[in-house]
This record gives sequence, C-alpha cells and structure tokens, in this order.
Amino acid sequence: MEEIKGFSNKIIEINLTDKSWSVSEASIEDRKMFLGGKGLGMKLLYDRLKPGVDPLGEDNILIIMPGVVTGTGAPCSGRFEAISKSPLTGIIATASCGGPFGIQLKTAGYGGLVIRGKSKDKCVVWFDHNTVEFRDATDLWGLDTVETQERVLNSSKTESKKEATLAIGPAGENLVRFANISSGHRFLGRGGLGAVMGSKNLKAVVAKGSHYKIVPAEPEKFQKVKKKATQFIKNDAVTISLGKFGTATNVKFVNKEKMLPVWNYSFGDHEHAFRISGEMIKEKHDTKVHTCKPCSIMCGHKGTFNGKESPVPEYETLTLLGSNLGVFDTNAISRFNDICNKAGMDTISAGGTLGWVMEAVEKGLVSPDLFVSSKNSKPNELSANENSSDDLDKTQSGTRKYSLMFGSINGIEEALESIAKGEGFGKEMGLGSRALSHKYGGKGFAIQVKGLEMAGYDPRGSYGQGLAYSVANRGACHLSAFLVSFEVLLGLLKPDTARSKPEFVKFVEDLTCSVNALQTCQFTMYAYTLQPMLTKYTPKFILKNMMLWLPEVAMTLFDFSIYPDLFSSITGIKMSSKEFLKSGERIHVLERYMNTREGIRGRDDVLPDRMLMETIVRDKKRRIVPLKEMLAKYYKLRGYNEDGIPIDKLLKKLKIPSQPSYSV
Amino acid sequence: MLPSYYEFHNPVKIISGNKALDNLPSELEILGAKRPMVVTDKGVAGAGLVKIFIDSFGSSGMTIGAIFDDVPPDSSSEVVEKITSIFRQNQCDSLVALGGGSVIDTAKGVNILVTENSDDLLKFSGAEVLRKKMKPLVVIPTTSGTGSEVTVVAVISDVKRNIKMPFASTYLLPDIALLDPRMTLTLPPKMTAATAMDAMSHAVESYINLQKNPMSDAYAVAAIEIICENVLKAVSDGNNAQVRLAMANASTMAGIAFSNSMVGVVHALGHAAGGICHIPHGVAMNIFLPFGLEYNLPKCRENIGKLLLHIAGDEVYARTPESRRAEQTINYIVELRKALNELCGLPINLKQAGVTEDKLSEIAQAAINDPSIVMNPREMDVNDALAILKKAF
Repeated sequence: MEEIKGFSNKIIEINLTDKSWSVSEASIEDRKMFLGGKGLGMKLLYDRLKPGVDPLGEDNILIIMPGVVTGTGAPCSGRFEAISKSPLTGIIATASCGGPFGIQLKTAGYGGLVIRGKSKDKCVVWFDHNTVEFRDATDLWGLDTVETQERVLNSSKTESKKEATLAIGPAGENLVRFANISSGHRFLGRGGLGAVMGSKNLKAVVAKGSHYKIVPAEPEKFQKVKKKATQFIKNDAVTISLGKFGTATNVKFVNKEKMLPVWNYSFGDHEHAFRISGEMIKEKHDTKVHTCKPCSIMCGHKGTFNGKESPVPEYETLTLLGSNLGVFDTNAISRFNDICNKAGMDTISAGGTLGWVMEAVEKGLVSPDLFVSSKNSKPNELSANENSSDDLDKTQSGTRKYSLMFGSINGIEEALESIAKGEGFGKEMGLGSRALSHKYGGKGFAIQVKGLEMAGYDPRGSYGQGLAYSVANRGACHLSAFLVSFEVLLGLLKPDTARSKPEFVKFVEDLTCSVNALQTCQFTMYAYTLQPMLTKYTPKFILKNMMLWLPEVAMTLFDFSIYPDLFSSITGIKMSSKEFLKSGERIHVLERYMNTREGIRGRDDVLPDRMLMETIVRDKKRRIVPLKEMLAKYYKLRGYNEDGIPIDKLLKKLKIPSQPSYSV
Repeated sequence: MLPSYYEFHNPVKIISGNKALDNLPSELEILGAKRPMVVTDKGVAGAGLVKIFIDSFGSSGMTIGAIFDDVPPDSSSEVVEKITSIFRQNQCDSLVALGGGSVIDTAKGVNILVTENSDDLLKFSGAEVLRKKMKPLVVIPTTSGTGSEVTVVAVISDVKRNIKMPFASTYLLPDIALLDPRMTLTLPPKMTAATAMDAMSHAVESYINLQKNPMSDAYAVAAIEIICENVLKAVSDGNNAQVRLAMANASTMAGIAFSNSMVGVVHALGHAAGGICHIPHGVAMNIFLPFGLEYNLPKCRENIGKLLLHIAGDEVYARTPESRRAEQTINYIVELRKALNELCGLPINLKQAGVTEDKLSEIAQAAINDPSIVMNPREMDVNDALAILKKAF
C-alpha cells in the first residue's frame, strides 16, 4: 500500500453540471494557516463561492474535508467536516461528523472534496484514488439514509469495507431546510447540508479509499503524543462520564441548573428529567458502545428501545425532541430519532421547530386544523374520546388529523414524517422556526439565532453560552464555544455574570475552530486541556478567581499543546500553541467575514426575546442574558467594528485576503 | 356549579406530624380509653413499627390490653371473630388499627362485633344498618393510599359463605386518624407508588363524578396537588419524612373526598379486576385511571380540564388552551404512570399486571355490576367496559 506522509493537499473537484472532475492542489501556505478540516475547507470555499448565491441553486458548493489527524490512528481521529452555504440560515454552515467517509476520502489520496454544479438527473458520485463515476440514482430516490447506504455500497464485503458513503434521505430530497447528510450511522447534522445535496440531485457520494496508508511525518513524536493523549482521555472524569452514559450524562446537571429546555424554553427543569438522564437510559435500555471509528471517548451508544436495537438518542435529541416538547418517554424519543435519522433530518432543528409550532398553536397563531398526515399514521396512545380531534377522518381520502401539544407524544411522529415528505403543513415546518415565525408571527419565541435553532442549553443559566450562541457563525450553535462547560459543568466560571465572558467566548471559539480543523473530536477538549499538569494542579479556587478577574492570564494556564503537537508530529510542520490558536482565530474570522459578505451585521448577533426579556419559570434568580454589555466588549476583543464586521487591520493581521482569489 | 343539595360529613380528628404518634396515649385518654387493643399485621410488625408504637406509650401509664399482629392481606370474618374474642378476653375498651386497608377494615369489623355484642358480622352488612356509637377507634395508616382512616366503609370477606360483605355507616368512622411519617418510611417503592395512585384515583374520581360537592372538591384538589408534588420523590427517596408525611396527608384528604362523593368507573373496573384476577387495588387504579378519564371525557370535559391546574400547576394551566386542558390532564397522568413504571416497575397495563386476555369479558361483566359505577358521570355498559379493558390490556 502506498503511503501519504501526514496529509495530502490534493483536492478532488467534481462538477455535477457537466459531470466532469479534476484535481487541484491546496497550497502549503494555506495548510499552515488553515490546518485542514473546517479551516482549510473554509478557505477553499472562500476562494470558490461568490456571495449572494442561492444555497439551493447550482452555484452553491459543498466541501467535504478530512483533517491531518483523520485516519492517523490518534484518539478520535475518524472525523471530517462539511462546509457550504446553508439553505436554513443563508450563511456559511459547517458540520462535523464521525462517520467513515472522512477516512476513505483521505485514504483515497485526497485532502478534500469539492462538489459544485447541479446534476440534471438524480445521481450518485462514486470515486476512488484515480477515477470518478457518475451513476444513476433514479431507483434510490425516496429511500431512507440506511437503505440508500446499503444499496450504494459495494456488495462484496471486502470491497465494501474500503468504501464509505455520504447519503441523504427523503428530507434532503424534499429540500427540508434542516436536512442532514448521513455517513454510516453518524451525521453531518446542522445547517441543512442534506438539502444542498438534494438540490444538486445528488443522492449519495461513495468514496473508495484504503489505497493509501496515512503515516505521520515524525512517527516517534507522534507515538509519544498519542500515548499522552490516550492517557489524558483515560484519566479525565468528564470524559469518563461521557463514555459511561453518553452525552445524556449532561441531563442531570443541566436540569439542576434550570437550563433544560422544557416547553419551548419556558421552563428550565422538570421533575421527569431523570427519565431522559444518561444514568436512567443506561439502566433501562441496556446500552452498549456504538461510536464513531476510531474513538477513545466512546460517547456514542446503542440500546434496546421499543424492543429493538437502536442508537441511544444524543443529549440534543433527548432535549429538543424530548424535554423541549414536554416529552420524557425515551422509547418515544427513540422513535422520533429513528424517523429523523432515516429521513435525514437534524433533530435539533426539528425539535426547535416543533417547539415553536406547539407554542404557536397554544397562542392561536397556527391553526391545529393544519395538522393532517397521510393515512399510514398510527392511532394515538389514548384516543377513545368522541370529541377528540385525533379520530380518523375517513371522508377526506383516508387522511388523518393529528394534534400537537406540549407534554404529549401524540402527533410528533406524524409531524416529523410530514416534514420529511414535504406534505401539507410539513412543507412549511421544513423551512424552520425562523421562516415560520416570519409568516405567522411569534418571532419572540422562535428559539433560533440567524435561522439556526438553538441547542439544548438554555443560556439564561450560562451567560457566556448566551454570548456564544449570539455570535456563533452558523447560528445558535453550542459547538462554536461551549461555555456551559466552564460555567456549569466544571464550575470554573461564575455563570450569571457578564464578567470575562467575552474573553472566554473568543478563546474557546478560536481553540474550537483549530480542533475542528485538525480534525478531531471536540470532546477531547476536556481531557486535553484539563489533564496537563499546569491546569490539573492549579488549585481550583485560584483558577476560578483568575478566570473571573484576570481572564487573559488564566487562559495561559490552559495547556492545550497536545493539539499542535499532534499537528506537527503528523505533518512535520512546526506549530506552537500560539500559532495553533491563531489559526483558530483566522478560521473563525474568515467565516465571520464570509458571513458579513452575505449580509450579516451586528443586528444579527442576538438571542431570542425569550432569553433577553423573560425569566425562566420559577427561577428565583430571575436571570436574563445581559447580551448587550458582553457583545460590545466581544466585538472589541475580536477586532470587529461596531456593526460586527471584521476591520481591515484584523484581516491583515490574520493574513486573510480581503478579496478571495476566485482562481479555481 | 353548586349542587342543589348535598351532604358532607367528616368528624375524624386528624393528627399529623413527624412525631404524631407520641400523642396517642393522651388522645386515647381523652376518648375515655384505658385498655386499647392493637390490630396490626406481620408486615408492620416485621418493619419494626410496632416497637415505635409501643415506645410511644412510654411512661403514659396507659396499658395496652392486647396486640394482634396477624391480620392477613384480605380481611376476613374469621380473623375479625378471632380478634373480637381476644378483645373480650383481655377486657379491652378501644381499638387502635396500625396498618393498611386490610388492618383498618378488620378493626372496623371488630368494632362492630364488640359494640353490638354479637358474633355474626353478616347481620350488620349493608348501608346504614348500624345504629350504635362504637368503641373508640384510632387509626394509624402505614400506607398512603386507601384513605380507610377517614371512610365510612369497610369490606370484609366471609370465607365460609364466599362473599364479600360491605359495610357502610357513619358509625364506622374512626375517632382519630394519626399521620406519622415514621409509619410509612419503610414502605417499598412499588407499594408507595401503587398506594399513591390509589389515593390519586380517589381524588380524581371524587372530583368528576355526580356526587361531587364543594367540600369534597376542596379535599380532592388539595390531595391531588400534594400527590403530584411528592409522589416521584416518595418513590425515589423513601426516607424523606417530609415527603412521606405529605403523601399521608394527601391520602387522608383523598379519602375524605371520595368518602363523601363516591368514586366511578376506575374503581368499578379496579374492583372487578381485583376480584377476578387478584390485581392489587392500587395497581389496578394506576392502570385504569387515564382510561377511565378518557371514557368520561365527553361528559365532564370541563371538570377534567380544571384538574390540570392542580396536577400541573398554574403556569401549565394558564398556557394550555381551554379546549385542550382535559387532554393535557389525562396526558399528565399517562406520563406520571410511565415515570412510576420506570422508577419502580409499577404496571401500566393489564398484561404487565398478569391478567390474561380471556378474563376481560368476565371483568367487564363484574365492573358494570359494581356499586362504584352508580355515581360515574357517564353510563357504562358491558361493551364500553370491554373496550376500556382492551385498551388497558
């Protein structure tokens, strides 16, 4: 087997319009400055995508990027990134995934995949290290993500191990704005990238890799770093808890701190929260490990739900399609999860949208008469009453009315299916909560920022998270800077104050961007930053006080050198911690800059009115997010002008060209 | 709406507190008792509760005339006769029932025989047959569910004749109900859940049926609020005395409510399923409650909707459109059942409770002949009953 030392800068570029393909080369300079993964992908997009294009039009571009860590055998090195313009938000979307596609892309010899144009016919793209085939997908159209992947993979078992897919389900085909892309049993979840594929008539992409072996440039150093990294992961308490109980381990502390989204973020806790906790799920559903590959953290699990083996819903699914709708029945949430996974839909946006719909029904903005599903839908759990609107309406061609009400599992499966199929009101729900609130009113309780529905942590319990949601490049995303970890989970940063939040949001955003550019799992950030001696042995009260009063100094106590060490041992390119963090800053600012070219301004860095004006029900502290004061300082720290636009000086400092090359 | 006529009666003195039991000797004294007989069961004795009880007498000078600690789970006329004879032999003058529904009903039976100076319980079976003021009776419930400490009824089976003898008389009301959390701390989670749902069904059925009145409503909704606030805590943290005391209070209040307004289809189905398939009463109540409400929905949507305020709190009530409140009430109970099932395995359908499908017709037939059906807001025929049973299966 041939070897790739560290990384490949070869980018495979596929044009669906004329079914052509070529290979370009990313520059070494870009590799150094943008690292790979999300970073280099962002730069590739910057150089190719003109502002203002229709996200669902021929001109949008979808980029898939592995990172230098991908495929090396380092802990959590199975991840890859997608970058495009989002049909949900109209701005740049990035998504990270632990499915098998990234490794096959890289071992086919490529450091990135660029898909542009629009196929006239429904198609599948297949490629290996030296060929590309455009295959007909007429027979695959309408199939779910599981069936599609089974069908497009090589029927020979040995060969299929060398192949991996990206595939969309009916939601992507029907241009649901929060459709996702599956790879194995993992997803490029957020921002509607599945609809981008659907708009290009692209049902699936198959990468046949395993042609090259990825070897580090400095094997001895790499082994040393890898050993240290593995040890950190083994020793870190938060990481261990993730491995034991999955991401649902967060339910308990989030509920305790009144940050659990309940009834569309009206309540912050619920007495039934224990039912969706990682501990209860482990006990009740007999869970086993079911992770990305390779993985050392093991947060992904599967278990027995409704009598069959299914993935354990992630924290975000348990909250957005669970508690946020007032649902705590894990078997029901598993069914919702399965519908979304098979249809290829983001569970966060689906749940956030349904939360808005339920409240809009409550407030009389949306008529319950709109909820009609196809005849296949099941009867409700309890549906005997004569006056119920849930009865089968036989007079109207076998359709059935369903109801949506906080607290009830009834109607949710029908609603999700109607979204995926684009049927009736489902088509409108498939546009997301922002679009719905523009049409029907109720913007104040559309829990989204920049069009992206919020993740399952109410920022009123974590002000830094509030700032992070408001300025996150892709919208109300918790993964841009997960301040909840410092503020609540680790108890290092006082949550209900604006003090030092701008500093830490910037710091964590930059670091996260770099981690997503390597690319490795964000969950390594706990172990890699908390286990090194400097952080581990600094007394907590000193760290806490420094973080609050001297944030810049406190940041120097977080030793994340393992990340640049991984980068340099794999690539042979020297990289200091400072340079690594600066790369993250560069990536973040470039993404922001691209968004401002799409029209994003300071007015878009907001939070839903609910978080700014209403307190959580029964919250004795009566907290609301003091966004304004944090935002001004954040802009200053970032080097944005008052309207939130990166100033020229900043772009120059970060060596971001103010005009892209459009050379490709 | 105020009924044009109703009666409400509850003369039972309630003594509630963390050490309420310590008041027992002085309370007995006030009642004129000098040699009380204690009626309890092996479970209570085994849990060490009798010792706490005896200790409460301390230096009071009061003499315990006799202790009978072998009441079976289903009270029977044989046991009542046996205890009556011990009562007489030991020249006791009053009764203290320390236990759950069976112990309390047994003590009520004993009180009939010793008061009437008779050995034939059957003579006194039926409604308002009794005419004499009875011996002092103090009840200390060790479960929080039946409400027997404040009810006018008792059910005792006559094993020889194979019949269940119902008794109903205001004279059967105990003098004192003593609620002490120490008596329920050791109740296992599943029993805690089952008895709590028994109390819940008393309160809910009391609030929606035909004989409801403002007094019973007040007790019912207060009981519901306390149950909803505490039941999950009681099941998951049985050692919490405050929570246990709250549940004991709720159970007593629910008992007062239904004792004055009667119950409905949930109880009718529960009695029938209990009689035929021996499902514990609380388990049956838990299974049937949401289905019974759903059945009654067309006749009392407004009342079921009003319960939402007490079940889910003011925020949820205010936010739920009036037209959906009844459904939300039922939904809350459905979810509460699921939570209890997940916490302690309390069955939520008949299959889980061990009922086989071939028994459903027999249960349906028995249910429509159960006296509880009389005050139910919606008439139920055998087909209706069968339809509910099939759903609950």
